[in-house]
Amino acid sequence: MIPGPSNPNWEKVIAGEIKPNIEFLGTKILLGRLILQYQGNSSAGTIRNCIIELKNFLEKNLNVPKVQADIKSIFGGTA
Amino acid sequence: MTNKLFDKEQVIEMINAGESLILAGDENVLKELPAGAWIAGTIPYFMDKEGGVSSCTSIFVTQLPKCVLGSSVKVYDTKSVENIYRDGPEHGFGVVIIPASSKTHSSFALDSHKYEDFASKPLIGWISGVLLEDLGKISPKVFDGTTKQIIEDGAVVLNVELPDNKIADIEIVNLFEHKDGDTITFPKNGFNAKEAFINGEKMNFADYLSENNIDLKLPLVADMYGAMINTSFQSINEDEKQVDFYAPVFEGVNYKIAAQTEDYVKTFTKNIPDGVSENLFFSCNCILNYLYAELEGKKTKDLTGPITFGEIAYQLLNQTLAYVTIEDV
Repeated sequence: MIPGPSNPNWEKVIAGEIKPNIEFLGTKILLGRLILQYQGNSSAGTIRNCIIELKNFLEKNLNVPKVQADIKSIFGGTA
Repeated sequence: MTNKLFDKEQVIEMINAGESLILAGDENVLKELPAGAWIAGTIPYFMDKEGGVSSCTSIFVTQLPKCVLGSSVKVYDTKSVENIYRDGPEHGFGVVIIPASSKTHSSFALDSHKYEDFASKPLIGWISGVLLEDLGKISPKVFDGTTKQIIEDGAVVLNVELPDNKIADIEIVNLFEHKDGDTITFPKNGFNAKEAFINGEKMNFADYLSENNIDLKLPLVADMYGAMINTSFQSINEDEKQVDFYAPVFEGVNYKIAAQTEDYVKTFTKNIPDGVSENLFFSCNCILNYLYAELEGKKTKDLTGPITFGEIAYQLLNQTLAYVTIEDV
């Protein structure tokens, strides 16, 4: 259900290029932090770590309906 | 799910019956409780069924619901608190209490977003405090009821395991919005600031607040991807030309001064979703909301809980109502 790390929407959401609607408070707080981290250092290493952190978070909370909605919102039809 | 004030004898009966409890009360009454499956933090202010109330003899009790599979208590110090998210149950949530003004409070406030598995598991809780008249005289504390350990610097967590068909959903109610006005950023993280950038221009922040007649009851608000996160003002130190906060400000975050709220109680009522109390497990509200909104004797819909020196919903918050519901999936 969750696309692999090569899906371009991971980077787009962390770089603030897309702004999907997010429902789950945990996703909002984590994403807010990851975007700040990216703004402070947009190296390939930072992006890779941010994607891993967000992906791990979503995977751990996959049974939460709001998180399922967040995933759909980030990836649209590809999720 | 029970969330209300009880007298000491009733709480002793619950503990002796083997119930797992989250408690809030004055230090002296908590010290008289027997060992058992409970955690507690010191505070004599509560939002009870009839409204806001102060009591040094009653204890606010949150009982675990019947659906809970199990619970366990874990105590952390300033260093080990970095494991707080990692140690959370695979399916469930944690309730944490940390004493105000302790090193652990400071560490959690400044660095929790760097801890392993930050926000990956639901964590709700609060910062313990004291009667306002006792500020600076008595230190806030937390209790591990399993050993009756009293902790001035550390964190106590009750990890709660849920069955697969239940989830914990943490939410916040914030009266304040990140909308109009100057954009404020800070050059470094911290509980105080001398300098800030106002719309990109470097200024002494104390001078900015004074010159613009900013009401210090209104917090700084940051928009963290739609979650409005407050940082409350503690005071302006005119001699040092420094502004002190109840939570840290962070470098790189865009803050705005919150807009004035006309009627706190009406706004709370409007912002608390209908039906929340049916599945409510725990909630807490900030002492600053209690004071500034004059909540003594007033209700915030059906939400009850301790009035706290800081709220935790994944991370430290100020001037916010935090709550967790247990939902079917």
